[in-house]
Amino acid sequence: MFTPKLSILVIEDDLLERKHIASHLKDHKVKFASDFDAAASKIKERNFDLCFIDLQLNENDDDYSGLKLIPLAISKGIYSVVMSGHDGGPTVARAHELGCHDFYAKGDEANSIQQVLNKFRRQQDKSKEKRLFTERFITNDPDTQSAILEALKYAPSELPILILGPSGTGKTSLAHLIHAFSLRPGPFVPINCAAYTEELLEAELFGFKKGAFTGANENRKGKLLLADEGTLFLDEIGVMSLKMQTKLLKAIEEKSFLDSLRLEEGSRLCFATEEHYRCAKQHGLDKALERFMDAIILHSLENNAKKRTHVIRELKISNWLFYQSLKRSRISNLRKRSVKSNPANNPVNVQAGLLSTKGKRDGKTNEILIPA
Amino acid sequence: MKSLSPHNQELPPGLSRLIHNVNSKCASLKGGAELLADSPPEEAREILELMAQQAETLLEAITEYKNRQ
Repeated sequence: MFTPKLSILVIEDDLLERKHIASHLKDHKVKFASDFDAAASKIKERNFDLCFIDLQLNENDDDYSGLKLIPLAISKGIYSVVMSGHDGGPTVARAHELGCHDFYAKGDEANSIQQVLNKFRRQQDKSKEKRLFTERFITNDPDTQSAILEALKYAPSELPILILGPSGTGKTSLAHLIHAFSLRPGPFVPINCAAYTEELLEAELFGFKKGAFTGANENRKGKLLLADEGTLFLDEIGVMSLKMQTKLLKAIEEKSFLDSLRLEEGSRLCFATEEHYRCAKQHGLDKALERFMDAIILHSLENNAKKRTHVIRELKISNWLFYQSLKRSRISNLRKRSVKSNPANNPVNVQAGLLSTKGKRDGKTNEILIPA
Repeated sequence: MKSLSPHNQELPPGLSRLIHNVNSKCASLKGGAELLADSPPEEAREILELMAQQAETLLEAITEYKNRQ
Protein backbone atom coordinates (compact mmCIF):
# COMPACT_ATOMS: atom_id res chain seq x y z
CA MET A 1 0.00 0.00 0.00
CA PHE A 2 1.30 3.47 -0.91
CA THR A 3 2.46 5.45 2.12
CA PRO A 4 3.27 9.07 1.40
CA LYS A 5 6.60 10.53 2.54
CA LEU A 6 6.43 12.71 5.59
CA SER A 7 8.36 15.93 6.04
CA ILE A 8 10.21 15.62 9.35
CA LEU A 9 12.47 17.89 11.38
CA VAL A 10 14.81 16.25 13.89
CA ILE A 11 16.23 18.56 16.57
CA GLU A 12 19.13 16.74 18.19
CA ASP A 13 22.56 17.99 19.21
CA ASP A 14 24.18 14.53 19.34
CA LEU A 15 25.58 13.70 15.90
CA LEU A 16 25.66 9.99 16.53
CA GLU A 17 22.04 10.05 17.63
CA ARG A 18 21.11 12.09 14.55
CA LYS A 19 22.63 9.40 12.34
CA HIS A 20 20.80 6.73 14.27
CA ILE A 21 17.44 8.47 13.95
CA ALA A 22 18.08 9.14 10.25
CA SER A 23 18.52 5.42 9.69
CA HIS A 24 14.96 4.85 10.94
CA LEU A 25 13.46 7.63 8.83
CA LYS A 26 14.94 6.68 5.46
CA ASP A 27 11.56 6.62 3.75
CA HIS A 28 10.84 10.25 4.58
CA LYS A 29 12.12 13.75 3.86
CA VAL A 30 14.18 14.63 6.91
CA LYS A 31 15.92 17.83 7.96
CA PHE A 32 18.13 18.25 11.02
CA ALA A 33 18.92 21.00 13.49
CA SER A 34 21.55 20.67 16.19
CA ASP A 35 20.82 23.73 18.34
CA PHE A 36 17.98 25.93 19.46
CA ASP A 37 18.51 28.80 17.00
CA ALA A 38 18.82 26.55 13.96
CA ALA A 39 15.75 24.63 15.03
CA ALA A 40 13.65 27.75 15.59
CA SER A 41 14.69 29.08 12.21
CA LYS A 42 13.77 25.88 10.39
CA ILE A 43 10.42 25.63 12.15
CA LYS A 44 9.55 29.16 11.08
CA GLU A 45 10.71 28.76 7.48
CA ARG A 46 9.31 25.42 6.43
CA ASN A 47 6.26 23.25 6.76
CA PHE A 48 6.93 20.01 8.53
CA ASP A 49 4.53 17.21 9.32
CA LEU A 50 6.42 16.12 12.43
CA CYS A 51 9.17 17.43 14.63
CA PHE A 52 11.31 15.27 16.92
CA ILE A 53 12.66 17.44 19.73
CA ASP A 54 15.49 16.58 22.09
CA LEU A 55 14.91 18.55 25.27
CA GLN A 56 18.57 19.10 26.18
CA LEU A 57 20.33 20.67 23.23
CA ASN A 58 23.85 20.80 24.67
CA GLU A 59 25.82 19.42 27.62
CA ASN A 60 25.07 22.39 29.86
CA ASP A 61 21.46 22.85 28.90
CA ASP A 62 20.00 22.50 32.38
CA ASP A 63 16.99 24.55 31.33
CA TYR A 64 16.00 22.01 28.70
CA SER A 65 15.76 24.61 25.94
CA GLY A 66 14.01 22.09 23.73
CA LEU A 67 10.87 22.77 25.75
CA LYS A 68 10.66 26.26 24.24
CA LEU A 69 10.49 24.76 20.77
CA ILE A 70 7.30 22.85 21.52
CA PRO A 71 4.86 25.79 21.44
CA LEU A 72 6.68 27.20 18.42
CA ALA A 73 6.22 23.95 16.50
CA ILE A 74 2.61 23.60 17.58
CA SER A 75 1.84 27.15 16.44
CA LYS A 76 2.92 26.03 12.96
CA GLY A 77 0.68 22.99 13.10
CA ILE A 78 3.59 20.58 13.45
CA TYR A 79 3.07 17.28 15.27
CA SER A 80 5.61 17.53 18.09
CA VAL A 81 7.40 14.53 19.50
CA VAL A 82 9.71 14.87 22.49
CA MET A 83 12.74 12.61 22.89
CA SER A 84 14.42 12.44 26.24
CA GLY A 85 17.05 10.61 28.18
CA HIS A 86 14.56 10.63 31.03
CA ASP A 87 11.71 8.17 30.74
CA GLY A 88 9.37 10.34 32.75
CA GLY A 89 9.39 12.90 35.51
CA PRO A 90 8.72 16.63 35.64
CA THR A 91 10.53 17.44 32.40
CA VAL A 92 8.34 15.14 30.40
CA ALA A 93 5.28 16.33 32.28
CA ARG A 94 6.18 19.89 31.38
CA ALA A 95 6.54 18.91 27.74
CA HIS A 96 3.02 17.51 27.80
CA GLU A 97 1.73 20.66 29.50
CA LEU A 98 3.20 22.66 26.65
CA GLY A 99 1.22 20.56 24.24
CA CYS A 100 3.60 18.01 22.79
CA HIS A 101 1.73 15.28 20.96
CA ASP A 102 3.96 12.37 21.81
CA PHE A 103 7.05 11.35 23.72
CA TYR A 104 9.55 8.55 23.81
CA ALA A 105 12.49 7.70 26.02
CA LYS A 106 15.74 7.23 24.13
CA GLY A 107 17.16 3.76 23.87
CA ASP A 108 14.75 1.88 21.58
CA GLU A 109 14.54 4.16 18.57
CA ALA A 110 13.51 1.45 16.11
CA ASN A 111 10.28 0.66 17.92
CA SER A 112 9.67 4.11 19.38
CA ILE A 113 9.94 5.94 16.08
CA GLN A 114 7.70 3.45 14.30
CA GLN A 115 5.07 3.75 17.03
CA VAL A 116 5.23 7.53 16.78
CA LEU A 117 4.73 7.44 13.02
CA ASN A 118 1.85 4.97 13.30
CA LYS A 119 0.13 7.13 15.88
CA PHE A 120 0.65 10.22 13.76
CA ARG A 121 -0.91 8.52 10.74
CA ARG A 122 -3.90 7.37 12.77
CA GLN A 123 -4.43 10.94 13.93
CA GLN A 124 -4.18 12.20 10.37
CA ASP A 125 -6.74 9.64 9.22
CA LYS A 126 -9.11 10.74 11.96
CA SER A 127 -8.90 14.40 11.03
CA LYS A 128 -9.42 13.50 7.37
CA GLU A 129 -12.55 11.64 8.41
CA LYS A 130 -13.84 14.70 10.24
CA ARG A 131 -13.24 16.86 7.17
CA LEU A 132 -14.86 14.19 5.00
CA PHE A 133 -18.20 14.62 6.69
CA THR A 134 -18.05 18.41 6.93
CA GLU A 135 -16.75 19.16 3.47
CA ARG A 136 -17.09 16.25 1.07
CA PHE A 137 -20.17 14.25 2.10
CA ILE A 138 -22.02 16.33 4.64
CA THR A 139 -23.82 14.25 7.20
CA ASN A 140 -24.07 14.14 10.97
CA ASP A 141 -25.69 10.73 11.07
CA PRO A 142 -23.18 8.34 12.71
CA ASP A 143 -24.63 5.28 10.96
CA THR A 144 -24.26 6.90 7.55
CA GLN A 145 -20.74 8.03 8.39
CA SER A 146 -19.81 4.55 9.54
CA ALA A 147 -21.26 3.00 6.41
CA ILE A 148 -19.49 5.49 4.12
CA LEU A 149 -16.17 4.74 5.78
CA GLU A 150 -16.83 1.06 5.25
CA ALA A 151 -17.66 1.71 1.61
CA LEU A 152 -14.49 3.71 1.09
CA LYS A 153 -12.49 0.61 1.98
CA TYR A 154 -13.53 -0.62 -1.45
CA ALA A 155 -12.32 2.55 -3.15
CA PRO A 156 -8.74 1.41 -3.89
CA SER A 157 -9.92 -1.91 -5.32
CA GLU A 158 -10.87 -2.49 -8.95
CA LEU A 159 -14.31 -3.80 -8.04
CA PRO A 160 -17.29 -2.20 -9.70
CA ILE A 161 -19.81 -0.75 -7.31
CA LEU A 162 -23.54 -0.38 -7.57
CA ILE A 163 -25.16 2.30 -5.44
CA LEU A 164 -28.87 1.99 -4.79
CA GLY A 165 -31.00 4.72 -3.36
CA PRO A 166 -33.79 7.20 -3.92
CA SER A 167 -33.18 10.51 -5.60
CA GLY A 168 -31.34 13.05 -3.46
CA THR A 169 -29.57 10.61 -1.16
CA GLY A 170 -26.12 11.52 -2.46
CA LYS A 171 -25.39 8.70 -4.91
CA THR A 172 -23.38 10.96 -7.21
CA SER A 173 -21.52 12.51 -4.28
CA LEU A 174 -20.64 9.09 -3.03
CA ALA A 175 -19.47 7.99 -6.45
CA HIS A 176 -17.24 11.09 -6.59
CA LEU A 177 -15.86 10.25 -3.18
CA ILE A 178 -15.09 6.68 -4.11
CA HIS A 179 -13.26 7.90 -7.19
CA ALA A 180 -11.26 10.43 -5.14
CA PHE A 181 -10.25 7.79 -2.63
CA SER A 182 -9.37 5.32 -5.36
CA LEU A 183 -6.33 7.43 -6.34
CA ARG A 184 -6.92 6.43 -9.93
CA PRO A 185 -4.98 8.71 -12.28
CA GLY A 186 -7.80 9.13 -14.81
CA PRO A 187 -10.88 11.38 -14.53
CA PHE A 188 -14.31 10.85 -13.01
CA VAL A 189 -16.66 10.62 -15.98
CA PRO A 190 -20.39 10.61 -15.24
CA ILE A 191 -23.19 9.73 -17.60
CA ASN A 192 -26.91 9.70 -16.90
CA CYS A 193 -28.27 6.74 -18.83
CA ALA A 194 -31.84 7.98 -18.53
CA ALA A 195 -31.02 11.12 -20.51
CA TYR A 196 -30.40 9.25 -23.76
CA THR A 197 -32.14 6.93 -26.15
CA GLU A 198 -30.41 3.59 -26.60
CA GLU A 199 -28.73 4.63 -29.82
CA LEU A 200 -27.48 7.89 -28.40
CA LEU A 201 -26.37 6.19 -25.21
CA GLU A 202 -24.30 3.78 -27.25
CA ALA A 203 -22.75 6.71 -29.09
CA GLU A 204 -22.02 8.50 -25.82
CA LEU A 205 -20.41 5.43 -24.31
CA PHE A 206 -18.40 4.18 -27.24
CA GLY A 207 -17.95 7.30 -29.33
CA PHE A 208 -18.72 7.77 -32.96
CA LYS A 209 -17.20 8.85 -36.22
CA LYS A 210 -18.24 11.85 -38.21
CA GLY A 211 -21.25 11.08 -40.34
CA ALA A 212 -22.16 7.88 -38.46
CA PHE A 213 -25.65 9.26 -37.95
CA THR A 214 -27.57 12.45 -38.44
CA GLY A 215 -26.03 15.11 -36.26
CA ALA A 216 -22.63 13.40 -36.02
CA ASN A 217 -20.67 16.35 -37.31
CA GLU A 218 -17.34 15.30 -35.87
CA ASN A 219 -15.45 12.33 -34.48
CA ARG A 220 -16.04 12.00 -30.78
CA LYS A 221 -14.42 9.83 -28.14
CA GLY A 222 -16.81 7.88 -26.03
CA LYS A 223 -17.07 8.22 -22.28
CA LEU A 224 -15.61 4.75 -21.93
CA LEU A 225 -12.39 5.91 -23.50
CA LEU A 226 -12.43 9.23 -21.69
CA ALA A 227 -12.71 7.38 -18.40
CA ASP A 228 -9.75 5.13 -19.14
CA GLU A 229 -7.70 4.75 -15.93
CA GLY A 230 -10.42 6.70 -14.14
CA THR A 231 -13.98 6.00 -13.02
CA LEU A 232 -16.98 5.72 -15.30
CA PHE A 233 -20.11 6.55 -13.31
CA LEU A 234 -23.32 5.31 -14.89
CA ASP A 235 -26.29 6.88 -13.20
CA GLU A 236 -29.73 5.36 -13.71
CA ILE A 237 -28.17 2.09 -14.87
CA GLY A 238 -31.54 0.44 -14.39
CA VAL A 239 -32.86 1.96 -17.64
CA MET A 240 -30.06 0.45 -19.71
CA SER A 241 -31.24 -2.38 -21.96
CA LEU A 242 -29.88 -5.89 -21.60
CA LYS A 243 -28.26 -5.59 -24.99
CA MET A 244 -26.41 -2.42 -23.99
CA GLN A 245 -25.37 -3.90 -20.64
CA THR A 246 -23.90 -6.87 -22.44
CA LYS A 247 -22.03 -4.69 -24.88
CA LEU A 248 -20.68 -2.49 -22.14
CA LEU A 249 -19.53 -5.33 -19.96
CA LYS A 250 -17.89 -7.06 -22.89
CA ALA A 251 -15.97 -3.89 -23.68
CA ILE A 252 -14.85 -3.59 -20.06
CA GLU A 253 -13.89 -7.23 -19.83
CA GLU A 254 -11.90 -7.26 -23.04
CA LYS A 255 -10.65 -3.68 -22.68
CA SER A 256 -11.48 -3.05 -26.31
CA PHE A 257 -14.43 -2.06 -28.43
CA LEU A 258 -15.36 -0.92 -31.91
CA ASP A 259 -12.89 -3.57 -33.18
CA SER A 260 -10.08 -1.13 -32.91
CA LEU A 261 -9.98 0.97 -29.80
CA ARG A 262 -8.19 -0.46 -26.80
CA LEU A 263 -8.22 0.79 -23.29
CA GLU A 264 -4.93 1.16 -21.44
CA GLU A 265 -6.03 0.00 -18.06
CA GLY A 266 -9.78 0.20 -18.33
CA SER A 267 -12.05 2.26 -16.20
CA ARG A 268 -13.44 1.41 -12.84
CA LEU A 269 -17.21 1.16 -13.00
CA CYS A 270 -19.58 2.75 -10.59
CA PHE A 271 -23.31 2.37 -11.15
CA ALA A 272 -26.27 3.98 -9.49
CA THR A 273 -29.97 3.49 -9.74
CA GLU A 274 -33.05 4.47 -7.83
CA GLU A 275 -34.38 0.98 -8.26
CA HIS A 276 -34.65 -1.04 -5.09
CA TYR A 277 -32.66 -4.25 -5.13
CA ARG A 278 -35.73 -6.39 -5.78
CA CYS A 279 -36.83 -4.12 -8.59
CA ALA A 280 -33.30 -4.15 -10.01
CA LYS A 281 -33.57 -7.90 -10.34
CA GLN A 282 -36.93 -7.61 -12.01
CA HIS A 283 -35.54 -5.16 -14.51
CA GLY A 284 -33.01 -7.67 -15.58
CA LEU A 285 -30.03 -5.82 -14.25
CA ASP A 286 -29.03 -8.76 -12.15
CA LYS A 287 -29.51 -11.25 -14.96
CA ALA A 288 -27.40 -9.31 -17.39
CA LEU A 289 -24.50 -9.01 -15.07
CA GLU A 290 -24.74 -12.62 -14.00
CA ARG A 291 -23.91 -13.58 -17.57
CA PHE A 292 -20.46 -12.16 -17.07
CA MET A 293 -19.69 -12.24 -13.44
CA ASP A 294 -20.54 -13.52 -10.09
CA ALA A 295 -22.49 -10.76 -8.45
CA ILE A 296 -21.87 -9.90 -4.87
CA ILE A 297 -24.75 -7.92 -3.55
CA LEU A 298 -24.89 -6.42 -0.16
CA HIS A 299 -28.42 -5.68 0.85
CA SER A 300 -29.29 -2.03 0.61
CA LEU A 301 -31.65 -0.57 3.14
CA GLU A 302 -33.72 2.50 3.13
CA ASN A 303 -32.48 5.10 5.57
CA ASN A 304 -33.48 3.64 8.90
CA ALA A 305 -32.50 5.39 12.06
CA LYS A 306 -33.17 2.25 14.09
CA LYS A 307 -30.30 0.40 12.50
CA ARG A 308 -27.24 0.86 14.63
CA THR A 309 -25.06 -2.01 13.54
CA HIS A 310 -22.12 -1.42 11.27
CA VAL A 311 -23.64 -3.34 8.41
CA ILE A 312 -22.47 -2.03 5.08
CA ARG A 313 -25.95 -2.44 3.63
CA GLU A 314 -26.98 0.74 5.36
CA LEU A 315 -25.22 2.73 2.73
CA LYS A 316 -27.32 1.36 -0.10
CA ILE A 317 -24.24 -0.05 -1.75
CA SER A 318 -24.04 -3.24 -3.73
CA ASN A 319 -20.83 -4.86 -4.92
CA TRP A 320 -20.56 -6.69 -8.17
CA LEU A 321 -17.58 -8.81 -9.10
CA PHE A 322 -16.37 -9.38 -12.60
CA TYR A 323 -15.06 -12.76 -13.70
CA GLN A 324 -11.97 -11.04 -14.94
CA SER A 325 -10.93 -10.44 -11.39
CA LEU A 326 -11.78 -13.90 -10.08
CA LYS A 327 -10.88 -17.45 -10.79
CA ARG A 328 -13.76 -19.88 -10.99
CA SER A 329 -12.64 -21.76 -7.91
CA ARG A 330 -12.83 -18.61 -5.86
CA ILE A 331 -16.27 -17.90 -7.23
CA SER A 332 -17.56 -21.30 -6.17
CA ASN A 333 -16.06 -20.75 -2.74
CA LEU A 334 -17.82 -17.45 -2.56
CA ARG A 335 -21.13 -19.03 -3.42
CA LYS A 336 -20.68 -21.49 -0.59
CA ARG A 337 -20.13 -18.64 1.78
CA SER A 338 -23.24 -16.80 0.69
CA VAL A 339 -25.57 -16.25 3.60
CA LYS A 340 -29.07 -14.96 3.96
CA SER A 341 -30.34 -12.20 6.13
CA ASN A 342 -33.51 -12.16 8.14
CA PRO A 343 -36.16 -13.39 5.70
CA ALA A 344 -38.47 -10.67 6.94
CA ASN A 345 -36.20 -8.23 5.09
CA ASN A 346 -34.94 -8.51 1.56
CA PRO A 347 -32.63 -11.45 0.96
CA VAL A 348 -28.96 -10.75 1.41
CA ASN A 349 -26.09 -12.47 -0.27
CA VAL A 350 -23.06 -11.49 1.70
CA GLN A 351 -19.82 -12.59 0.18
CA ALA A 352 -17.70 -9.89 1.60
CA GLY A 353 -14.92 -12.25 2.57
CA LEU A 354 -13.28 -11.71 -0.78
CA LEU A 355 -12.78 -8.13 0.22
CA SER A 356 -11.20 -9.11 3.50
CA THR A 357 -14.09 -8.12 5.70
CA LYS A 358 -14.84 -10.61 8.40
CA GLY A 359 -18.57 -10.75 8.82
CA LYS A 360 -20.33 -12.48 11.61
CA ARG A 361 -23.98 -13.19 12.10
CA ASP A 362 -26.01 -11.34 14.68
CA GLY A 363 -27.81 -13.97 16.73
CA LYS A 364 -30.95 -11.89 17.16
CA THR A 365 -31.55 -10.41 13.75
CA ASN A 366 -29.74 -13.06 11.71
CA GLU A 367 -28.10 -10.24 9.81
CA ILE A 368 -24.52 -10.08 8.76
CA LEU A 369 -22.42 -7.63 10.68
CA ILE A 370 -19.33 -6.22 9.05
CA PRO A 371 -16.83 -4.72 11.49
CA ALA A 372 -16.42 -1.01 11.00
CA MET B 1 14.42 21.65 36.68
CA LYS B 2 13.91 19.19 39.49
CA SER B 3 13.87 15.51 38.71
CA LEU B 4 12.40 12.61 40.58
CA SER B 5 13.80 9.17 41.21
CA PRO B 6 11.73 6.08 40.40
CA HIS B 7 10.66 6.24 44.03
CA ASN B 8 9.45 9.81 43.53
CA GLN B 9 12.20 11.25 45.65
CA GLU B 10 13.53 14.58 44.51
CA LEU B 11 16.97 14.19 42.96
CA PRO B 12 19.84 16.59 43.44
CA PRO B 13 20.63 18.49 40.21
CA GLY B 14 24.00 16.82 39.76
CA LEU B 15 22.52 13.35 39.94
CA SER B 16 19.65 14.30 37.65
CA ARG B 17 22.13 15.47 35.05
CA LEU B 18 24.19 12.32 35.43
CA ILE B 19 21.13 10.11 34.96
CA HIS B 20 20.17 12.06 31.88
CA ASN B 21 23.70 11.84 30.47
CA VAL B 22 23.91 8.13 31.10
CA ASN B 23 20.54 7.50 29.46
CA SER B 24 21.26 9.71 26.48
CA LYS B 25 24.83 8.62 25.88
CA CYS B 26 24.04 4.93 26.28
CA ALA B 27 21.15 5.27 23.87
CA SER B 28 23.45 6.99 21.44
CA LEU B 29 26.14 4.30 21.82
CA LYS B 30 23.58 1.60 21.33
CA GLY B 31 22.31 3.32 18.19
CA GLY B 32 25.83 3.71 16.87
CA ALA B 33 26.55 0.03 17.38
CA GLU B 34 23.39 -0.84 15.44
CA LEU B 35 24.48 1.39 12.57
CA LEU B 36 27.81 -0.40 12.24
CA ALA B 37 26.14 -3.49 10.84
CA ASP B 38 25.07 -1.79 7.60
CA SER B 39 27.76 0.84 7.24
CA PRO B 40 30.52 0.86 4.63
CA PRO B 41 34.06 1.02 6.08
CA GLU B 42 34.49 4.78 5.88
CA GLU B 43 31.13 5.44 7.50
CA ALA B 44 31.89 2.80 10.14
CA ARG B 45 35.14 4.55 11.05
CA GLU B 46 33.28 7.81 11.56
CA ILE B 47 30.66 6.10 13.70
CA LEU B 48 33.30 4.40 15.85
CA GLU B 49 35.04 7.74 16.33
CA LEU B 50 31.79 9.32 17.46
CA MET B 51 31.12 6.38 19.78
CA ALA B 52 34.53 6.78 21.35
CA GLN B 53 33.85 10.50 21.92
CA GLN B 54 30.48 9.69 23.50
CA ALA B 55 32.07 7.13 25.78
CA GLU B 56 34.71 9.65 26.85
CA THR B 57 32.06 12.27 27.56
CA LEU B 58 30.14 9.76 29.64
CA LEU B 59 33.28 8.82 31.54
CA GLU B 60 33.93 12.52 32.24
CA ALA B 61 30.39 12.99 33.53
CA ILE B 62 30.69 9.98 35.83
CA THR B 63 34.10 11.09 37.05
CA GLU B 64 32.84 14.63 37.71
CA TYR B 65 29.92 13.34 39.75
CA LYS B 66 32.16 10.91 41.59
CA ASN B 67 34.59 13.67 42.50
CA ARG B 68 31.78 15.72 44.01
CA GLN B 69 30.77 12.95 46.39
